[in-house]
Amino acid sequence: MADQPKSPSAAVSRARLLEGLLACEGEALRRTARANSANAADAEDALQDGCVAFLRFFEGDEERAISWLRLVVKRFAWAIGNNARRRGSHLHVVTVEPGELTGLEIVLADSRPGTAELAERAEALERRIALLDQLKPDERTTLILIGLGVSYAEIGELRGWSRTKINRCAAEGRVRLRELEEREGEKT
Amino acid sequence: MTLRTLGAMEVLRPIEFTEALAWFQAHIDEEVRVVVNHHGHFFGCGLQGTLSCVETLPPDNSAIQVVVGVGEGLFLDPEDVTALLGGRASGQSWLEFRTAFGPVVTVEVVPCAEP
Repeated sequence: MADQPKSPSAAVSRARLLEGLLACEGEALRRTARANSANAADAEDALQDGCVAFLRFFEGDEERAISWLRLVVKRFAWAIGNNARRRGSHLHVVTVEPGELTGLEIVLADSRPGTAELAERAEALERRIALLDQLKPDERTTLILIGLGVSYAEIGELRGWSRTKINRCAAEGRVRLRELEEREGEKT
Repeated sequence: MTLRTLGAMEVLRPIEFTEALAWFQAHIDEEVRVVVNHHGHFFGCGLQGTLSCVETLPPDNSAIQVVVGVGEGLFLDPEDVTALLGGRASGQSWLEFRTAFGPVVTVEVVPCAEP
């Protein structure tokens, strides 16, 4: 029996389809990207991203391809614009004295914590957890539940404790925690 | 004087976006009319065709496109719209998507022409 000719894979079909689209509609797609982008570089990025998305995801009929690609290119253009605006919102100009003016200085005013700060926070959290372990079990339970946002009434229900006991555990637990922290601070 | 019945009574209620998606799925291959309006403004457009499919869109697949006819249609992001379902006493229903920035889109099945 003669070998049946293999049909091209979906990826190859999409690549051929894209090639045809870019040949016929490339200019129109560029115009669409440009109309929805802040600058030519962003427009080119949007078009490239749209083409990659087409190769990866497009599954419809050939006749739907151009409208799908046009829409996806627009979405990439908007996404690129939104990202740029978000980054831009973290920038502000620093004013300097006229004599010191050597050029426009722009600093990155990113409110997100840096890696060093995150590492410090993680260490502090670990230390706190270790300190919590040194509390009496009821004090520890009370402080953790309060920290999780559980109300005094709910703690009372969960543990079968009176409000007085919860108050005492929370107050004594906090005092003890502060003492442990101070002792820890003196050591370091 | 005669009393008229409330035959034309319409009800519009907010729905989850997933319910709107279910509405679309239920009307695939039917003739639909999509109308965009910005109430109080001389602005809008409409299109009519067969509801072919509903698909998500790259890059994040958060938005959807409702394909009407050959390839064009309605596209929207669930985060930007409030979905409402309208119903008439006749049993006919339609969808309405309201955006915070103004335009409102309605999608309704075109009733079959009377023979």
